[in-house]
Amino acid sequence: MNSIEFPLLDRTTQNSVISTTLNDLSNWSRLSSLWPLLYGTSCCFIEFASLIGSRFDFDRYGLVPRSSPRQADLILTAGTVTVKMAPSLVRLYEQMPEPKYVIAMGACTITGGMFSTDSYSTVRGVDKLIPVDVYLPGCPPKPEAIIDAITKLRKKISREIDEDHIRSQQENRCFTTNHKFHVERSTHTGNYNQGFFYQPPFTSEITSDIFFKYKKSKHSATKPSN
Amino acid sequence: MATSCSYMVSTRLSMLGWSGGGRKELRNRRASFISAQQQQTDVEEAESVKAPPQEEQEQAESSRSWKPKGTKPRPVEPQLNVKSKNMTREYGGQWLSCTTRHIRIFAAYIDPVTCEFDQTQMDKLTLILDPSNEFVWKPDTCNLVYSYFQELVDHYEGAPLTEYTLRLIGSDLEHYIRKLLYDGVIKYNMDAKVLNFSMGKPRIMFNNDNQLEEPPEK
Repeated sequence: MNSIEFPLLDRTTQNSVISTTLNDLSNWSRLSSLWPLLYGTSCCFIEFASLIGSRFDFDRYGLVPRSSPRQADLILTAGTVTVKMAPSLVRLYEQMPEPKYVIAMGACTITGGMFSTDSYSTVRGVDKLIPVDVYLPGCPPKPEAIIDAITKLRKKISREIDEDHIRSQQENRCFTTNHKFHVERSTHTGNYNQGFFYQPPFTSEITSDIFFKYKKSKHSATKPSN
Repeated sequence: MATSCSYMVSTRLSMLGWSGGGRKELRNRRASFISAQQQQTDVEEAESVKAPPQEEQEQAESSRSWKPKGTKPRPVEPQLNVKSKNMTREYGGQWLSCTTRHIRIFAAYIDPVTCEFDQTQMDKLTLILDPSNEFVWKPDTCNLVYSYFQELVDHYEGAPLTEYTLRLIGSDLEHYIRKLLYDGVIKYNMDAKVLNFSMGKPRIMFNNDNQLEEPPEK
């Protein structure tokens, strides 16, 4: 296979009892208190919201819904992501502090779902925007299926190794270039009456008194015909 | 032309007057609120005292006392935590970006060391390449993408600086990265936290050159 590479293959993880126990402890503490962001764009959010109620209580898994991305460590992308919503979703994801996890919920966020054939504005799958840990199929997935996805995510977190996070390169691949784009003047100057006094170019050359004179002459020209 | 200009000026003045009138209205409302409270207390006092001349005196006093209160508004507290620079679009006040999984383009200057984001440098575009490390990047592969980015920016010379143009550039760059992947120049990073294979599952030979004649596996 020539399209995959294991850059950290020669790493040597410590196999001592203490470090593995500490690793398990940190993994357990993280998986037992996954706080999801209260995020939903479309129908899948209804199924996600039903988890908050008493029937499919997700507080028993330690999930407390948080409204701010700064306090959340899980984002369940519930609902279709459109091209307009995409930068906001990426911004929310970037605002979440590490370690963070993503569950792509519903067919729309996995591959575009019912919008994958003809839509001009749907993003075909949220993994084009943010890295996804668990894919949860369904349209919409039942609340029990969401609990299943959360269980799978917990199992995935329990298998994590802390050294991988430390060793993986966090290089910032930044590149700046100059551009010669044209910066347009903003039309939103704060003046509400701006629109009333916009002069289209061809009328600005005709002053209003000339305009009225022309109108009068037209009127007088048509008068004798009446 | 002259008449239209003067008309505009008069409306601007009227606009100012309108905003000033708004403030006056607020002041009057505050004054009336204060006076209503005082009238309530006056009424209570009058009931307790039951002396008409005293009531009149108190009312006169209250009318005199709330007048200065009404004309002096509370001083506006200076907001220390808000860093608004009141920037209009021409000075970099608009957040312009194109953000996808591997390509982040911002119309700003980002310091590579401190990651400080400077929006006022309007003539620069910054590209952040693959922050989630889905691919393995080496300096030569990075430079391929950077040079293609520069080519695209030069190609779009004269275009308006909007999110639309940034997204066109971003979309072209994503297609270029996909082409690099299919040509085998860049590879998926199997040690990433997540294995999404967002640009297609790995295959034996994307572009069948002259080597193996195996059909590509999906």
